Amino acid sequence: MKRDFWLASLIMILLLVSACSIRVIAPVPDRIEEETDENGNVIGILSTYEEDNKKEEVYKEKDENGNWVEKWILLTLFDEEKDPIEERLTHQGLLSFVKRYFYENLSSSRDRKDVSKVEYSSDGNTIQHMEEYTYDLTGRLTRIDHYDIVTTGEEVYKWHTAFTYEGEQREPNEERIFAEGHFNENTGDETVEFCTYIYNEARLITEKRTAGDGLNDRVLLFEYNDQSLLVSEEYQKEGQTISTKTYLYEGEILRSIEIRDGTGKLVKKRTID
Amino acid sequence: MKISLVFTILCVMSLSVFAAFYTSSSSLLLNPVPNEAPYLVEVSENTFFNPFAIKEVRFAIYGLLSRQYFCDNLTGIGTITPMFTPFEYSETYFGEGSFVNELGFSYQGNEDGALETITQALTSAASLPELAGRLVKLGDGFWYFDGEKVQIKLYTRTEEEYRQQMGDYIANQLEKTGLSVTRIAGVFGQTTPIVYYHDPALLEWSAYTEYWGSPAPYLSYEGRLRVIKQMYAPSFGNMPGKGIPGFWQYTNELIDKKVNEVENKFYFTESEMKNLYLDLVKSGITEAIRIYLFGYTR
Repeated sequence: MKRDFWLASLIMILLLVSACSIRVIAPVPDRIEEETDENGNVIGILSTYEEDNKKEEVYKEKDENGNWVEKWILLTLFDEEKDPIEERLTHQGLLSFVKRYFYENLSSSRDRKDVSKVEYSSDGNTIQHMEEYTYDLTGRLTRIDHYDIVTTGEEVYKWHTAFTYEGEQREPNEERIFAEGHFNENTGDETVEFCTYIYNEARLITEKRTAGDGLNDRVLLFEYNDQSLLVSEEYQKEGQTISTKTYLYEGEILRSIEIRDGTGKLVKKRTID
Repeated sequence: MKISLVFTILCVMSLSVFAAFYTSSSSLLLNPVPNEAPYLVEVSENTFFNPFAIKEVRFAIYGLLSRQYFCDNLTGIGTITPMFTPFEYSETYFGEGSFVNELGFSYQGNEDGALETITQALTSAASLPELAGRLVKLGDGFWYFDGEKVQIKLYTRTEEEYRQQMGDYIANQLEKTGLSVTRIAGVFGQTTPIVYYHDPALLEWSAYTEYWGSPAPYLSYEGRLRVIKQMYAPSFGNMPGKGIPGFWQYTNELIDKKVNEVENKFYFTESEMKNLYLDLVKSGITEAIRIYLFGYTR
């Protein structure tokens, strides 16, 4: 009897080792978020795997036959300061884009690094789009140059986004009013959006207001608790509440997010394990 | 909160430039009525077979038309850029290019593959009980339904030379499929009311060459989603039927649902939104109601 027990244990161990070696046993996610609809039905599962300089988010949803299938995977790589250096999005099994971030200390008045360049590629090798960033002396983003590389020929489309600020907001927690204009240097096409960002004393953004570019006024309102944790995010268009996200915590640990429509009706909920 | 006068004037001056320059694009709109088997439409007690009610036939049009042809041959316009999605600016910016690759699209097109797909789809339709013996391909290479050639009514525009060239090329390519093409050319005021404001179920038109002006480069997800909604989502009112009461309507609940989710921010993270966006781009392309051809500057 005793010998049978040890034999069974040994077999179990051997099976486990071999299962691991052929990757039958999947790694355990660091976080699982279960998404439910307004009726409480589970409609999606987001699993997050985190290592020192790497985060992988895997989202699964049910297909027409009720089977769980991988919908998308977002892999983000970070540098030692936890700033993203690469994002790799796979959508329905297909690599959608690889986005690489480059940093430099561009604003001499600050002891920090800024994004200096972002490269986009649909296969991870050929760059199809590139952005170069410029900042003013106070560290505010003033210009993004976009290079759109047309793969069929020698042409490289170029346009830029200019950020024009009102006044001199020297601190990042001060109200910022600026115009965001997109200028196509080949055609002269141009659009301008007016933006206002308002911050609280903790330098957290409380209001983001955008208008122009043919869109209605859009406002995002953010609220925080005493620990400076985001507790709600309200989206308004033309003064009407369109949706609200509510963040619920246990201590400082985020436990769930609810999305409600403008009438307050629950649309979706995400529960975090 | 008060925006200074100088700031406002500068910005308004910037906006005034808005109308002075234009980037344009062209697409082919297809009439998919009734968008389901057996693809028959009753008009004034007559029954017609609509090949563009078959999704596979519509989708094959992407390959049937060579974007390179437009780039090389249209005259009287500036730089021409091939397009598969509604964005003149970098179709690969947010991952759209992966679909273009996956679906096997090329600027040259794939005429042989498209013709094969269309023939297969029509042959398969001909085997449906409702169409058996009624939809046939005869020795002259044309498809017939109830003894009459299956007709495509192609509406094209005549205002400028390049529009006529484009219409001629599309008509010639469509005729290679064994469908008889009736070419109906006219200026905006003649063609648009019929295509946009008559019931698609009257089958007065099958395909229409459209032109769009776009003053903004779509650099943000928000901007691009606005275009996706306009060009692919029935709820916006720009698809066949246009939401006009009493007309037959092209419907697509999935596209409308996802557009609604994005527009109202019914998503938890930016990653989720980006994937919803890609879902929408892919659905719009594969539904093939509005097929993008090229962008151009003038």
